Amino acid sequence: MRWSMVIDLDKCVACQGCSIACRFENNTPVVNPAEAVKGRAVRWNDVFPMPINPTEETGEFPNVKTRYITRPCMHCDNPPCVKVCPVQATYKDDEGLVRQNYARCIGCRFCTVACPYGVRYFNWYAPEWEEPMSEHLNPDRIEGDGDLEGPAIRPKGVVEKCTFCIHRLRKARARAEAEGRPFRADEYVPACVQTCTGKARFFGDLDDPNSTVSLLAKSPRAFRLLEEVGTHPKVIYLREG
Amino acid sequence: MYLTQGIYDLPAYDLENSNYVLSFGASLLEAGPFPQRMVSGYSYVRRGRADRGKVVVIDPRQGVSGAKADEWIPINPGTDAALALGLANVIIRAGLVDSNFVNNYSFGYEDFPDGSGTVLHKGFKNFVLENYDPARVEEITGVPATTISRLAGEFAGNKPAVAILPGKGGLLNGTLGGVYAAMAVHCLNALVGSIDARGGVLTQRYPILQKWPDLPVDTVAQQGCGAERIDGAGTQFPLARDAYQAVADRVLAGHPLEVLFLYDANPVYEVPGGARFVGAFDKIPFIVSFASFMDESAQYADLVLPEPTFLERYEDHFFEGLGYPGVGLRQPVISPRHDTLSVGDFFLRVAAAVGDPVARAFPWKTYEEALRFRLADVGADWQMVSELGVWMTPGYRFARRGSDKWVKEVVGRDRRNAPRDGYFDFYSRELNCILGTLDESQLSALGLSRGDTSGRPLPGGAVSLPHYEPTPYVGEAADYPFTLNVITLMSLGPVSAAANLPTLQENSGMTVGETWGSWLEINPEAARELGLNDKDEVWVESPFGKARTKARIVKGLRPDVVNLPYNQGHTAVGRWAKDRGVNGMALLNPASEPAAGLAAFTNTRVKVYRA
Repeated sequence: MRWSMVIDLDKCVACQGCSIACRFENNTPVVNPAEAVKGRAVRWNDVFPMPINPTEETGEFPNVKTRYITRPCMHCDNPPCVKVCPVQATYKDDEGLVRQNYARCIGCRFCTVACPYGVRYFNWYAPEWEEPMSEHLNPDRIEGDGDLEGPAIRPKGVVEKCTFCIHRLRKARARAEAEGRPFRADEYVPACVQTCTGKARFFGDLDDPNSTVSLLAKSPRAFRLLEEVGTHPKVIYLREG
Repeated sequence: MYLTQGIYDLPAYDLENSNYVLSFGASLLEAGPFPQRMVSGYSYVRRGRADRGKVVVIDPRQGVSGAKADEWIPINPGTDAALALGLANVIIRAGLVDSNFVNNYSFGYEDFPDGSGTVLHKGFKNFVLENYDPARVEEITGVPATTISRLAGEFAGNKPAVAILPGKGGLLNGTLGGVYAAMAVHCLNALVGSIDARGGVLTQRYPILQKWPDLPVDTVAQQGCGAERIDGAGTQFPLARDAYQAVADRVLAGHPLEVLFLYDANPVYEVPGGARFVGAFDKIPFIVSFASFMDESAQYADLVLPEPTFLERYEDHFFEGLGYPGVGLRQPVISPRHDTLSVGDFFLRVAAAVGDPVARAFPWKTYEEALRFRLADVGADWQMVSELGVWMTPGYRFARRGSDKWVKEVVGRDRRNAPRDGYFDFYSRELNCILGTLDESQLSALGLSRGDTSGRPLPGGAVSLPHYEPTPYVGEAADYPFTLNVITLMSLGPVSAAANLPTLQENSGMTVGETWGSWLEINPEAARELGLNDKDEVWVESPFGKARTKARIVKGLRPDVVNLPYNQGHTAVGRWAKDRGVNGMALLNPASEPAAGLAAFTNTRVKVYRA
């Protein structure tokens, strides 16, 4: 199994439903407004204009071309972040997910620098939830044996990023096992995929030639971000138009 | 939709089957009245079917909707009526109208002659042909004549086509000119036969509801029903059904009001010039607020009875924007966390305490019971509706033109004065009934006139026809060079309580990379002329007030318009909403438009200068 996401930019309307759903699913802390201005807001899924700042290519009034993109972790098949982690807190598992183990992370942030997509975020301070905001926290977590991942509340000094909602994968697998049947790839989707108002996100197994993601990956509209740097990202975009 | 088609609802659009979507206003994909439905429909137009539909957005501001559209037309603010009628002009001249519809199912398309052949009243067709040729419309709107002709051809030549008004904010609504613009846009749909047609305009249908019991009217009720409305709708504002913001002015002018209930309303904050409500509140002896969060208006209430949040109460929600009938049954997913009572339950208890005959009129013990009564005939039993949380009859049934169903449900259903004869009014008989008997001085007191706006003599006048009215701006252009556009973001939305959510604050300014505050969007050329750089602190000042914020340069914006996002600048609501950013409403013209009592969101000019 190789998990992959396809995002159709022709259906995306940059509403940020994905970002908000992700934040509540994964207990993303809100940083102090002064930190947010420094660019330290944690955005496992980020929606932003492409390019971020206007350039010559984006035109002049009235011929202005503005595009938006939504960006989770690419879960690269050749992840640069994994290569630079000195303690193997981040590693690629056998289903293609690039994992992040908060228990092992030493906060050196080499991974954050190495990632060309900017999907990694560091906890400069211990995350805080003022009462009563702590009451909405998702209790799901992946834990045990020197392992702490997913929606678990992060301590200060660790890096975090999108996990393709691995806790949902674990739950779906556990349910299949409890019901004594094989687990199917379409039994789990990350929160962003579930929420998307425009139904622009798709998720599934790229190793299955008949899955939706495999079929969409063959579309002439398909492209990946920064294909030229050799990361082999597993988030595939379908361009507009 | 009311003055032309006789339906008092927001129009529903069959986007899923449209080939060509002409959106007047940029809130198609932003926080309109039913954003999920519009986004869902839009994405289907693009990719949910084999042929990808075309979307054109017409607005001084590009926004997200203009960015996703195939074409963005940066129209001169407040001139949408002229553009719509310019398009109509080309469509008529090119012979592209749906003649079956206009000849057989409409009123006022042709001139009305008297017995001897003298034209008593211009019809829509000749009125548009004579006054809205593309050259004149180009002068008014700034949209090139060639573009107007091309868009008209595309619209009429790619059916099903639909012209839509997203129904909220932007620079389209808020003066009577906005009402005429809405009529003009809706007439475009009629011209190409898109009324109650696949890919066109739908009429929102409703489920069958059990009728409220017929009760005798007691003397108090009789007095109340006969009294003038406190907001002046129907009297001071002859065209209005409600004029929320005018309550403050009328109370301040001396109209007596003893008790005020504030339900889902925060007028001190959310209305242009809302601060005047504070003075009005001083004159009202008893104010009750049901706000769930202590907002700017609830602070002045004598009694705050917070309603439980949407997760804790029963409520019905009828489908809007979809056409087919349905009702959502909101139910508590947790029991109320505090000692709160839903407004429905509150009034039932008040009725019981008041005693007969009022108590007899409200025989239900709880609001849940009342809903159960009302939904008894909806097509499923209460248990089924409760389990599903919704009951609908999906599949919109179009009415055959001129059929009984057409007359009863599609055209004319809600008319109060004009006949319910199933004719679509290009010439609004409803308007004529209300305004037609007024003389020129009475009309001009309402800001209207019988002549057309270029002073050409017009038999019968243009007052009942959709036409272009120049916006009565407040602030001379020489001193106040920009039109102020207060925009509702998808992130913060229109509801005050949302400003108190840290996650939304952190994601509020996606398009410009801002968080936790306000900013003023300005075109790069306009900024250059003022010597402003991106992120400079600026004052934005209208004749009514000024606010200090941060300028952000945005290319997708006309040089003569500035945008200020809504829902910041709170002084209450909660610890994360409070004392952050600026409230654009405080800068807007507080006057109510005289004929329809509309709040003035679109006719304030401002100046911008370095702080």
